[in-house]
Amino acid sequence: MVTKMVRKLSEHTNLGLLAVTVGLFTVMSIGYSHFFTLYNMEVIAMGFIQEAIMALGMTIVIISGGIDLSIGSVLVLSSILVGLFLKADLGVALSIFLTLCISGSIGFANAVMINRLRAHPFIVTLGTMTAVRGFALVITEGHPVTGFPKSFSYFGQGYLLNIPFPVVLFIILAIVFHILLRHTKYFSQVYFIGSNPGAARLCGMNVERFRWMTYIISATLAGTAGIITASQYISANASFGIDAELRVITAVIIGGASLSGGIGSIGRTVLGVIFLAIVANAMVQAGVPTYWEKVAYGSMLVISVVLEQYFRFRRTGIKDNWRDFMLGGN
Amino acid sequence: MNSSENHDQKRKPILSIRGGSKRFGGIQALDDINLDIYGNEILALLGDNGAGKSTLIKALSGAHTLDEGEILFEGKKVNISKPEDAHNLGIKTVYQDLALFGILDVTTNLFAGSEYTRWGFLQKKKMGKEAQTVLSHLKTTIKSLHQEVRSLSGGQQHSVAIGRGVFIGHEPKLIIMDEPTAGLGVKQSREVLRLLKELGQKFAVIFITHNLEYASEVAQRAVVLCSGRVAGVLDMAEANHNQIVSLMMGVDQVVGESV
Amino acid sequence: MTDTKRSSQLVSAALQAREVQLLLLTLVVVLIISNLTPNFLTESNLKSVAMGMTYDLIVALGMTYVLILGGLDLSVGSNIALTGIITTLLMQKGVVSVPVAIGIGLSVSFIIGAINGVVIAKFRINPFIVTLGMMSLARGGAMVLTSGYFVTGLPESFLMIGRGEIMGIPFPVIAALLIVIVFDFLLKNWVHLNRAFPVGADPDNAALLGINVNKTVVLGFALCGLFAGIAAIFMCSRLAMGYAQFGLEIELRALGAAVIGGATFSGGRGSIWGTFLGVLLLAIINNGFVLMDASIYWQKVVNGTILIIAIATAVRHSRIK
Ligand SMILES: Nc1ncnc2c1ncn2[C@@H]1O[C@H](COP(=O)(O)OP(=O)(O)OP(=O)(O)O)[C@@H](O)[C@H]1O
Ligand SMILES: [Mg+2]
Repeated sequence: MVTKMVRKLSEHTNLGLLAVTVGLFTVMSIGYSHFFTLYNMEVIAMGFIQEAIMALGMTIVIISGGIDLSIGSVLVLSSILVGLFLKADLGVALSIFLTLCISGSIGFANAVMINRLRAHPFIVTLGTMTAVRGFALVITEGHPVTGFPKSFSYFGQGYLLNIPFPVVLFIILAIVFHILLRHTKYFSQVYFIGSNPGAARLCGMNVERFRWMTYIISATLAGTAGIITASQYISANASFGIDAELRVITAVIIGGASLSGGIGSIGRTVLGVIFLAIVANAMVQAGVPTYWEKVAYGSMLVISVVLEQYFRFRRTGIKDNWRDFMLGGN
Repeated sequence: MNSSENHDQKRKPILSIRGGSKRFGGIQALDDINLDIYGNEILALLGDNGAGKSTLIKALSGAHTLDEGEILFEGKKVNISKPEDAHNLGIKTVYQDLALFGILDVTTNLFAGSEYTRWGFLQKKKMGKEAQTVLSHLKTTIKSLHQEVRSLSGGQQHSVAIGRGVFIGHEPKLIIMDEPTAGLGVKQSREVLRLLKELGQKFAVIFITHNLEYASEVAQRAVVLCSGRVAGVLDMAEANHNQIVSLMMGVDQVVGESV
Repeated sequence: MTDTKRSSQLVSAALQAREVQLLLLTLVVVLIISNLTPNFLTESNLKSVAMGMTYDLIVALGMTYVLILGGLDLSVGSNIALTGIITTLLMQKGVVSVPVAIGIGLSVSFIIGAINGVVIAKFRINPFIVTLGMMSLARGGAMVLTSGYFVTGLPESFLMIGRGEIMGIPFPVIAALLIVIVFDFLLKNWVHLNRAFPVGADPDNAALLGINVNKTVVLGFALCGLFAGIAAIFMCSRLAMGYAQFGLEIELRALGAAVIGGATFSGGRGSIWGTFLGVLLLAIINNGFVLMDASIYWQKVVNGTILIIAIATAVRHSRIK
């Protein structure tokens, strides 16, 4: 009974990480009275909410065998655009709509370039990352955008059923994407395409078209995160979202997705996100100087992947071919 | 299985495997393999898909190590744990997928891993000349040595792989060819068979193929694998196709014993 | 008749070469910028362009090498920060003499790279993840060591490395050029470096041919780390301090320059002189922006666009004919 539950659970999530997360949570709750309070739970959730939302899109991109470095820049651009649209009196709904469309079209451009140039997604999105952040600087000339209408603050600061609105949004999005990836024929293609695009193409899947979709989702979610950020701070500035892509990728990989494609799930990513959010908060609670945060992130990323690889080798006795894990392999 | 011991008792095998086994996770790819290969003979290695042929020769060429069992080379027990060991012994392999570097040019492909060097520096002129010689010996139609290998035809790519496997680097003693005729047209296949026969005069050759015609044409003996075991060792002069096929399918092990 | 035909063939073959295309492009850019502003072709400006590109250039050489190996190294910027901090701290506290401090600093950078390589090769983990982790770790380490403060008060003899000039050319520039020439020669001719090409083109096949892929990969990443260390020494010396924010985003510029110069993410390709021209082109363009007082914010837009155009043209050439 228990073993069956464990097996069922292990299908959905990364058990090692779950144990570590629960352990950390317990230790923190016992050791620090301020940790396990409703207020702190909210702080934890909101402290990582942009990354959490973007991680959903990144999961799909990574499972499909790609990577999207441009999300941090899209976040900035979106926060600035929504501000400019609002100041131009376009109204909240239209401003958000336009911002999301523009964000999505950056994702579309990424996908088109990857398809057309047959270039590695890393370098294409590196290009858009640089260009888009530059563009954000150009339109603001480095100055922050301020003076948003009051009604706009709901998206970053409002509550729905006593839960912060962004958190509710994240939960809904996570459930939707989970269902899409698990239970719809179209989206479950992502696993085939990620593990062997050539074979997927031979099976009649439209890999190029699917790539459009993955990058559009990723960029649109980054746009959403940007809108939330703008609403949180009631201002936008070009230094938002720096290194966000790295934190997001770390969460997805710690959750257990593989950069070689074909492996990963929304459930795992959510756990990775929760873990990193708790770690960030725990370090603050424990009074660790913020400088240690980077050390902790870096070592956790490498250690988690090394352990996973080690246990996989112990279980199967198969060492990965070089082709399977080096970036290359045409 | 006794036939290999009966066969030509005066000659010493150049290479023997004793009790070779190999597992991949749950799959027993090789199970207690015993076999001998003699100098100046072509030994066909036959078996259905997944029988373990490639795994067996990868164990000989150092790409895999056996979990159990030992390999004797020229009568001495040897440890082949990496490709270098095999190269140093003179075991040269032409792999089933050719193992070429598509984006590199012909010369680089020919000499990868066995470059001519002086004090660690490449002797490019010398390699260029030798590449020319090897390719003309193989009668290929490759126009330029500076072409990317992926732009060559299938047959030309085969020539490069065979040229590298046989003629470059250490003097070969045992040559292993994993399906060297796969994917080739009739003319190219005949060319490979001609080369095989020629090599068989001088060296020991293991020839893996799914084409029984070719096997009986060039090989003196055949080892048949079935599900990772040696199903039988046959003298090609006496064996007939039905026998071989039934061994390959694992239908009748007795036939193998009686040869 | 045949002579002209041959020479026209030669010319068209030369035009196919990435380096030649880049050189022509760079010349065009130089022409444009020097026409737009008289301040470009002045000694002091050229000197500052040369000095400014030195760090990127040295780092980009190592990056090119790991790209040829089929990997990439995101940790070079953090490596610069940590190496710089350790070297300058040792000197500031007067623990050891200047040469010893530099020696220790370079060893640290080499070891950081080697750790990347060992984790990648031993545990078979994607270089992106490993070096991303190292990027955080080393940067964090640099901050922890200094709590974010500058390390200043360095000995005069150390500062001379970055400030010295030979015939009016800053010493780091000369050193970088020498490194380019030597490294290019060794990469083409020395078997231990040259094996990066087969290893990067197909590591599994390389292993089958008896090439020690593990060794090649570990040494390659260690070398990349060492190049970052060299850049760090020059940077700290020139700027007269160690600082935990040194080298931010240099990995992106180095990657961009290497890719513009003809390296690819699938490995097995890359050229040292191509990378040199890539760094040069980016440096000149950015300098042009500064000189023309154009919004420096356009720099990033243009850099990103160049990167994408570079891939587009590179891909056209590498496709199978
Ligand atoms: N690296 C590996 N990891 C796991 N299993 C493997 C590996 N290599 C081979 N196998 C398994 O070992 C068995 C034997 O495979 P092998 O490639 O030796 O067959 P083969 O006789 O060469 O077949 P074919 O005629 O198709 O080339 C197969 O079941 C295969 O799935
Ligand atoms: Mg096979």
